[in-house]
Amino acid sequence: MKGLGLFRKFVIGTVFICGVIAPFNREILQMLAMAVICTGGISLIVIVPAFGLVGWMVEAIFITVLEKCRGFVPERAAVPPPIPPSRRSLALAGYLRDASRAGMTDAEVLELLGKQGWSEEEIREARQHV
Amino acid sequence: MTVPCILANCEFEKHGTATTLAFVGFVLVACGVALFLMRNLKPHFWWRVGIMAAGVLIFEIFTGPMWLNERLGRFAYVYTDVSWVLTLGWTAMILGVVLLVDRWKPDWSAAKRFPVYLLVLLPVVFLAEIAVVNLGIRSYSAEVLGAVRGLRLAGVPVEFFYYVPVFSALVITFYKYWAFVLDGTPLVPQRRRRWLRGVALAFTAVFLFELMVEPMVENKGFPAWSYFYRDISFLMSGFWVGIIAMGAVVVEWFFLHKPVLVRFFIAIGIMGLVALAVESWLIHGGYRVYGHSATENFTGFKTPISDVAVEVAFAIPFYLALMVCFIRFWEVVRDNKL
Repeated sequence: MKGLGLFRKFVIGTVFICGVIAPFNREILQMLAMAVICTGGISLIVIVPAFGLVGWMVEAIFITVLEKCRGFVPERAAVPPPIPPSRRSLALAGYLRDASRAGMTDAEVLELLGKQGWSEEEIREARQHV
Repeated sequence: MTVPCILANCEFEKHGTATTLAFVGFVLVACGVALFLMRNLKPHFWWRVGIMAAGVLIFEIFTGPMWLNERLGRFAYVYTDVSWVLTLGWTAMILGVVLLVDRWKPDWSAAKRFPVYLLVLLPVVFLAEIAVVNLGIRSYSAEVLGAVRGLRLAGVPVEFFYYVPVFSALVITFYKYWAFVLDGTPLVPQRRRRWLRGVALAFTAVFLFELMVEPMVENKGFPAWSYFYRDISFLMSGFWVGIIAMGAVVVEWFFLHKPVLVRFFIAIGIMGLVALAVESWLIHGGYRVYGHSATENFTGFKTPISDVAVEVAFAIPFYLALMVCFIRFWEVVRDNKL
């Protein structure tokens, strides 16, 4: 499945570069072809991941935009939806999760977070999302 | 117009001599043995090798016009004269020193171990540089030779005592930052950004690197008062620091909750786009003039819209990647007491 995901990103990247960028600058395809030929194919170790990276970025931007658009659709349910956690809270929750996984004690975690200016209330709220 | 330029790159002198091929063989065997012996020093060892190699390769591609690596054999090159054999050699050498120092002094803080890496690497890398220069593999561009004072030690300009720590510091911080991610080290998020520290770190990183790559590009036409060393201008350095700060702010506001890898690529993407636009304006305005050794390597292909050589467009994210990792490494080390 993971391999399939990487392949999908590579395909998206290839389609994006050939379909969106290349029409503006046809030389890019010629340049890539020459780069592959000139290095006897060795440059593919850079080009293939680069295409995959472009695909990953295009996919990430597309998903983010889609999520944003969905977020603006009004809820029809009678009960108001729960307030989503803030980005800061999610970041803090991620840290608490990693710290717990790494075996850090509560005292160590609280000391480091305190030095960064996180309040107890923020830490308490973040714990709900761990 | 572009075809001869590409062919020039294809026809680059790559054929090895008996001595240089023996050197290549020695590097491959030595690296193979060293990496095999080190493989159990740390978990995810081969990922670590990959990260270090990526750091070295980024640096080599970025600073490619400053040196010329010849006669390593046709199979040894990745892009123009950038060789995977040398990349592997530097990777094994730097990774070996970092892992051994980490094992020797595990109770020391990361900040305390850092100068030890540089002190150990300085003579080791210098000796390796002496070897490649005297074997006829490595030579320097006219711009580099013009920038150095002329004093040499066994054929190597003494300025390498400056270049080596800067090169090592950028590559090691790149490796160390991603090693934190690889090891799953919890990295405390910043509640409030410490701007003074961030700007000081960014300025240090930018200045050290600008000083090193100064022969590659000339900054012209800036106000005289802004130049503080040769052609390095406060305005140009400030521009890079500003770009990095802008990327940090955008990521902090919108993507703080995303994984480190995602944040990194978003930051590089945003900073890279802005930097490319401004670099394009500076190049076309005559403020940034790339040296002959750099333009000689250009294939002639330009980016759409910004009309900048693709080599420059690729170099910008490479440069930013090294800068961001340098800054983030020191921030992480301080904030997490590592």
